[in-house]
Amino acid sequence: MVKRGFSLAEALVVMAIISIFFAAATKIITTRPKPKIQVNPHGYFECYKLGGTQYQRSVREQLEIENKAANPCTFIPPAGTAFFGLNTYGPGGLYHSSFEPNINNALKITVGTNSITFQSDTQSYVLNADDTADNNDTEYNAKLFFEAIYSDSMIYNGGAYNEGIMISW
Amino acid sequence: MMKKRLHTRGFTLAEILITLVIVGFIGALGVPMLGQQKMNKPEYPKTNHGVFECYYGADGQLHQFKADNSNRNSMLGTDTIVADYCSFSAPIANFYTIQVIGAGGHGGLYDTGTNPYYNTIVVAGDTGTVSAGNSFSADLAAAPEWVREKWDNQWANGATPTTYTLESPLGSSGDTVCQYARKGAGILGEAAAAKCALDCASITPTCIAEHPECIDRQIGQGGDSGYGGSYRVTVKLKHNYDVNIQETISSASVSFGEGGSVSIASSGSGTDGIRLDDINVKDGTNGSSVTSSSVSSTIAGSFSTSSRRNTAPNTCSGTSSEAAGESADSGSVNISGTTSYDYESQALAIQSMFGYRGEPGNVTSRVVSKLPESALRLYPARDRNSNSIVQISAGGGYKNFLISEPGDNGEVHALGTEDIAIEGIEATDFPFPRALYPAAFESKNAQIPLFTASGYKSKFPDLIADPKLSPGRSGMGAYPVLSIVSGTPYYKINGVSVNSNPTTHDYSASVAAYTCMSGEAPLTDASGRYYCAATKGNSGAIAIIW
Repeated sequence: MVKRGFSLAEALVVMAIISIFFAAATKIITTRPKPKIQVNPHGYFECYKLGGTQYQRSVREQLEIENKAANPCTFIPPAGTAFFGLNTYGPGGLYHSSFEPNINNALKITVGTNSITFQSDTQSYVLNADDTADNNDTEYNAKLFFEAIYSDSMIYNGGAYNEGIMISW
Repeated sequence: MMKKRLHTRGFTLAEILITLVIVGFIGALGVPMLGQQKMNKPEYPKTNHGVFECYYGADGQLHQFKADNSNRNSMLGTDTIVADYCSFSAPIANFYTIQVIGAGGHGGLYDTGTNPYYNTIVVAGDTGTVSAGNSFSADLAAAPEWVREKWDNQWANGATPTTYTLESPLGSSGDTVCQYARKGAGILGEAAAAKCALDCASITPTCIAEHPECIDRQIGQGGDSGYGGSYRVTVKLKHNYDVNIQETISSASVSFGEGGSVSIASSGSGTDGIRLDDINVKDGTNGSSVTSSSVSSTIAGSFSTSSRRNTAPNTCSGTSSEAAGESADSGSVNISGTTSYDYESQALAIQSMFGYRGEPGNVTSRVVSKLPESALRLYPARDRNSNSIVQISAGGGYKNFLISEPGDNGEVHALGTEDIAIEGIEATDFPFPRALYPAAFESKNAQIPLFTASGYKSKFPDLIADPKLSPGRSGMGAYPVLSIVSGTPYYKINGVSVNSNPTTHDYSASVAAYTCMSGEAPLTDASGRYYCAATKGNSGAIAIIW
């Protein structure tokens, strides 16, 4: 009698070997690389004056991290943030709005009577109410910015504005 | 059995199994390497980007367009017609750039409905003076070119020529000698003369003072100079003459460049002085007289003997013993008639009414890292009668967050305030003086700083490429198209007209081929004058990019 096919045992052995192969490759076959989801860390830091005392306050993802008296205020930029918005309300009529892509190190900030001073580890810069380039916004716009976008800020303060600066991202 | 086995043609199970095991083993070895490549593909965070544009389309309706990179469909964007304003709900993003573009200003004259036009007029041109003296050629060189070109025409038209009067130099007169002498018996009588001879044995100051009855004053007058001559020559100066006047102690001369010269010199003798018997009186010195033969000239003129001469004094004063004669005079050249030549001209000009292009709409930008959950309301200006406004939710309502004002309408130049001289304008200046074209009339785009899109579509590039839809683009100015300008300006030298031929610039043949900056053919007013009309400024727009 001529043997024409495999026996059940033979087929099982073959199946077992193929199964082992696919089992080993299952992880690779079923894994699909997924693009990382964009992370949009938003938050802000504000340095403001209330009752003659200077405070610094940090909010990240709508959660208040700190709110304490500080003179000067110390802003430590969050890692991985490309741009920062600088917006002031006062002091002395200083209404400033700009975008700053290059804050890498800690800044010490002091809110004066008509100016705001920034001190990094290498140099300082002063926003001055008397300087047209610095004082480039209007009181109306400055107020509306805090009211409409950052109504939880202490600069807005429920409409009883406190003088200070906000660094947002 | 063995015999049968030897005739089997396929593999045995054992052989197949061994082969499978080997293949499986090799395959298993390769799996990690193949998979690793797949697993190790670089992964980048997917960043949300997109654009929201609120604009007026070619259909005149307000559109809002949104596109982003979230998927294949949204990359192409969705364009929707909206009624009053666009509504923007901020997606998740790192930051948002909001750009507000005001409506463009209209071209000048657009609002008034007045057509630009022009009249040809004649206006004052050059004025100046050319001296007939030594500075003649220098003054002429500094004058406008037409003065030199038309200078000689004045003589054919009856202009008054210049007369130069040359007077010869005069020699000095002789000195006059004064002398005291004792009167003789012929004057005083014998007795008195004898007494005087005793009192004034010699003529001394004491004698002169104490015995004046004995003293006589004698004068020996010097000789006079000869009479001078004068020569008058009247010259029609040519534009290439070089007038050169010389006045010296020996002659007076005028040369007229290629036109010849006149010179008059001193010559001849003066009169003799009076010589008393006992007084040595000096003759007149260098006295001179002039005759017509002494005048050298290649220019026709008239000669006369002058009454001028220097005369010696004939009185003595005080105790002086001598009175000096007059010094010699140099020759002189006096100009009469036309001492200088005034010139003046008129110029052909157009008196025009036109309007410059309008100013593009103002652009306001703001970058924010966060926007409120409530949608922004975007109101781009349909025309320059309103501002482009972004409103934001605050305090329970909507407030103006960003505003861009429209551009100004083009400046209008009214007839009579703008005269443009066209003398010297060439055909290439057609149809309007290029000093004002096209910068003053051509529409101008608003300065939109950022509208690029990558990975998704944007409407703005197509809008900006279309002059009729480009947001905030200003309207084109209005200006006349010159076809024929003509007039009869004059040129005058020395008070007479040297050219009064009518002047005409005819550009009418070129008008048929001319198109306005709008690309359309010029219009025609009721008088048949061509013009390009002002256009309306474009609507504003608002774009938000994240």
